[in-house]
Amino acid sequence: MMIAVENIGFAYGNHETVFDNFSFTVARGEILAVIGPSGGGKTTLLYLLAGLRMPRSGRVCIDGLPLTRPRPGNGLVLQDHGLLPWSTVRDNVALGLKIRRFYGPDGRHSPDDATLDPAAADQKITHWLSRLDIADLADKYPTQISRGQRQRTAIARTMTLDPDVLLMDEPFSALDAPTSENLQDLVSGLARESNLTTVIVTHHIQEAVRMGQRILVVRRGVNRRPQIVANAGCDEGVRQDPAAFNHQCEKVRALLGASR
Amino acid sequence: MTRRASLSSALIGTGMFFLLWQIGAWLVHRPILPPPLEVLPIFANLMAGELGLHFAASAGRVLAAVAIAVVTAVPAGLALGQLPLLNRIFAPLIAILYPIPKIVLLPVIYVLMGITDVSKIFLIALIIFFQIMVVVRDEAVNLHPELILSVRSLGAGRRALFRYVYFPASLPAVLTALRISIGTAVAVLFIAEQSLTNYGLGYYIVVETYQVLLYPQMYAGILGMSLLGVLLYFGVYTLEQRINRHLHDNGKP
Repeated sequence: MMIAVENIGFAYGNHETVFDNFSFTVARGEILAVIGPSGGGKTTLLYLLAGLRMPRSGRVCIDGLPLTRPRPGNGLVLQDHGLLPWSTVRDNVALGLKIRRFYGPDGRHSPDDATLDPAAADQKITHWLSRLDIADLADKYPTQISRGQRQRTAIARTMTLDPDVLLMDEPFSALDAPTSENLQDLVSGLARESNLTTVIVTHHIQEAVRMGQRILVVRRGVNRRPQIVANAGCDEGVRQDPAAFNHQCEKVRALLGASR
Repeated sequence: MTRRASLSSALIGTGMFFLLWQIGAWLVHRPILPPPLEVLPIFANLMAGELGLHFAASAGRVLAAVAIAVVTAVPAGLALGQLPLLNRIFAPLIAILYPIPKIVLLPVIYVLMGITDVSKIFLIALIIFFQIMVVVRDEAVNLHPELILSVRSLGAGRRALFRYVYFPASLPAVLTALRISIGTAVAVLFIAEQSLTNYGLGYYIVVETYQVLLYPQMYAGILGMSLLGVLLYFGVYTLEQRINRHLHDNGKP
């Protein structure tokens, strides 16, 4: 198992518990979609997987190792505001590699075997800029490009670090439908290509059904036993068939309704 | 503004300044306001010698004060901005201290720190310190938490966050605060240099020229002080323009 969440408990301050004795796993290369109402702990769960928050009990293991801090192999893409506004697209994409060079291969901030050669880094940046179709925008600042292009920049920045886990928090929620679907397909493709274990948090049913090989439904209040459904909707055949796709969406909608 | 436009506007501004001065000299027609054409040759002459030394002494004091203020105020402002508890504790105190004119502390500082350059530099640094600390704090408070989380997820610890996020995020505000406080800094310098030193433009203007009625030389000193203010102001302004490229370079994609 690539991601193993083992009996975690989590609460914010003195507020209500969000997760209690909660466990699930994600296989290597799998795409898991997490869906639920706002306030249902979706983002909290993602931050726990990212090592940005620590569970009060239990543990999160990634690739067999318990997580105690952000892990170099984890890529994180948030909805917005993740780019440095004063840096160009290219410099933003280069940021992760710059940070790795800043620390050197110390195993904490970057992998022990990180290659820090500037020429190789440059090549990698150029590769991901063109793979994400933003090479033309390399010298623009984030305020000068569209939201979809900003999200491509954030994805490119993450991919330059060769992650094996990709964590996304509502990455396409602020985008219009065609842009969003484009990016969904792009990320699904990237995940397949690079054998990325992907967890994508969303509140859009269609997005969850398009992307997730399985769908985890979280609820408002305390989450104890995870509700995970296998999802055929992400298969090419079902995706192209509106009736089958809608049927799958209805199934998830029913689960969501039941979880409220 | 392009480089060319800003250069021509600087020339026009300087021209108008000297023109108004000349008109004033004609109207007043007394020794206390000599015309620019009398003062400028004296200024050029003196800058190559005695006045140059006074200028260097004053410039050194301001630059040292600016450096000390930046080095102490930026970390203090970042700490306040990122640690809400610390900010809650100190905010009322800062709100009280911020508007107090620090120049009134001059005698106290002289007694406590001795009549040296250190006390003069300290006083100026103190004034700039508060200006910078407050803007850096407000910048740091307003940084998106999502930005910090994203950069942390790229592997950044405290040091890299400072280097790649907090420092560049607060730099424009630091420069703006500097630009605004430089006028005050030079004014305070003038007052602090009037006594208890043998070098500095304030000393030159008040003790060496004004008190012995050498008005044209006094104006050379005043020109020197103005030049110091103008150079510092435009120095900071130029840095600001270069750093804020992402704010005014807003061509459509």
